[in-house]
Amino acid sequence: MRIVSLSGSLTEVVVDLGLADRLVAVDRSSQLPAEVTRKLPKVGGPRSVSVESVLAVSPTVVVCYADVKPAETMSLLQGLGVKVVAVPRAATVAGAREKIRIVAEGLGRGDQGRDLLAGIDRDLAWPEALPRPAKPLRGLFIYTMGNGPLMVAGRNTGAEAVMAAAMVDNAVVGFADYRPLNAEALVAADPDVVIILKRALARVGGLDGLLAMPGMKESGAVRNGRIVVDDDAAYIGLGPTIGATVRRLREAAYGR
Amino acid sequence: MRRKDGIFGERCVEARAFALLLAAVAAAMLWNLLTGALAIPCDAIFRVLGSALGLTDPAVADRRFALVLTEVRLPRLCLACAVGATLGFAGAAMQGVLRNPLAEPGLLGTASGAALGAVAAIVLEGMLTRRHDFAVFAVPAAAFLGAVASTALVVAVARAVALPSSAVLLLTGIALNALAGSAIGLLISVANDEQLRSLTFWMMGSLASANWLQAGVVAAVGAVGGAVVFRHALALDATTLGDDVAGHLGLDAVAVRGRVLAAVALAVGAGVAFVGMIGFVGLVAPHLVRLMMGARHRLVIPGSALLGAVLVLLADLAARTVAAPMELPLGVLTGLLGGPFLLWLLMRVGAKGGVS
Repeated sequence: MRIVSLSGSLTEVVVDLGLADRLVAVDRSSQLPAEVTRKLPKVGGPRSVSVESVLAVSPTVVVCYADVKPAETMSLLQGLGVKVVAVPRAATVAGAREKIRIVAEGLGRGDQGRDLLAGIDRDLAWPEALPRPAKPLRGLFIYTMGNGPLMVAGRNTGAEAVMAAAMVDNAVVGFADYRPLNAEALVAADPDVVIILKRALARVGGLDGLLAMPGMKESGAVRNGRIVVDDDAAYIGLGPTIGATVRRLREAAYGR
Repeated sequence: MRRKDGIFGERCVEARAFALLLAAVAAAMLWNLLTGALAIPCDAIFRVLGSALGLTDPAVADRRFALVLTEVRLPRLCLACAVGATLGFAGAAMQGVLRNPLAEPGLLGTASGAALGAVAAIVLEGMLTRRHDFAVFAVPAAAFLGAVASTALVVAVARAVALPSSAVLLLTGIALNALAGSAIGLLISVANDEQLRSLTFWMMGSLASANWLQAGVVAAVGAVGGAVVFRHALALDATTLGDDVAGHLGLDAVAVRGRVLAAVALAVGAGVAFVGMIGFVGLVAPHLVRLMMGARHRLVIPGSALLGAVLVLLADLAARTVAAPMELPLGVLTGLLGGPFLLWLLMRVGAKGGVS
């Protein structure tokens, strides 16, 4: 089996299924795990796959999202006898579980897939010792910052799905997708929890840079020390690390 | 606007036009101050301003409102003024130097050079180093260097190719813009999703990350550049008649062009370094001002600065409130605002029989 994966989170699933050594190429969004993806050829970028480059590594199976661009990618590959495992894109935790199931079945690793899902479900389950919050905290997910406006997660995003799984409400409800947030609206939102990606935090010069943001120091998130610094794998791509990511967020928001 | 005969009548028209522009700047600033994503009541705004000036008791002012006003709204308003004024006078100077009504600050590679610098910094930073913490400074620094370097390159190439007449400068600028555009396209094609979002916003301009430091730097560099350009107002009038005529008047047209272009590149470079590409202001503001008060640079340069400030203030007002809590790209709105305004003024002037 020679596998090509055309999305970062799908690559993570393939690796977690124990098939790292079968991967022959990935796309440029596949950054994790770095020790696997670094030495693999990249056959395209976000939303623009080069079908020729995919064929050049003579794969037997290609794992991709159903909305892969260009749209002809899947039919071209199938026409040439390459098996295509297509996953519907959904920014929900259920979608993330479904993704793992489909990829595992498609690659003939059903058992490993079920083990992976069982581990995720253990992390997702609300701990019995922890009382459920009477009123959910409100979270702000910061995607990028530093150059231009703050890019944050609005409705219908992977980050919102992760927050929801940890019983944190999205503090940004005025728009959908990842969009630039007005600085005054940030003050008005006054989040109880701030989730920021490691890369974004480094870019503003660490926590000091974050605290220099208007209104941040006065927010409930800073006053109560609820600042979560995490990787983007699960928040953006809803990959197989989603269970652990939800658990970390829940612990930061509500304790163990 | 039809010119009245006699020196007093002319002065009167000019004075009225300047009074109008100043009033427009003041009104746009006030409007910007009073509106935003966070609703702040008028009396709270004046309490905060009063306490900042030591007029009223600071304890009365709401802490959150005070914070938004002094750390978000005011610096952004000042940056909008500084950037708009810089683009305005830069456009007037470019149109004068190149004797071309379609000239704007971006024509000699200033904007595309800045864009190339910024995009390279955003995209290559991730490839060259694992450290991200220098990007806050790397992007504006690269944009500024790109702006200044590309303008210098255009002037140098034009000088090496032939006499740096305005036509040769213009063509050299177009060639370098095309090169920079291709390089940007190449970088975009290897950028990842996060970098794409960053650089799209940079390419369309935004004042969203405004702070006092940025406003201060842009205002200071812009003021110096504006002063240099204004000092050459008469020389620009003369070069408009052609290099020969300017020569007969005892002016070195090449030297005038060099000094004015250097001032423009520095000022515009400092502006775009922080706010990205903002189109149309530099092109449209000088034309509007000329329609109002004639073509003499002594008037067009300060007039364009004022009008540029008004345009950017209004565009930014829309950028931060129309889709709140979301931010819109500023460059989109300057065109949306300036285009119809220019058409309206052209039609009015046409109806009155005055041709500019």
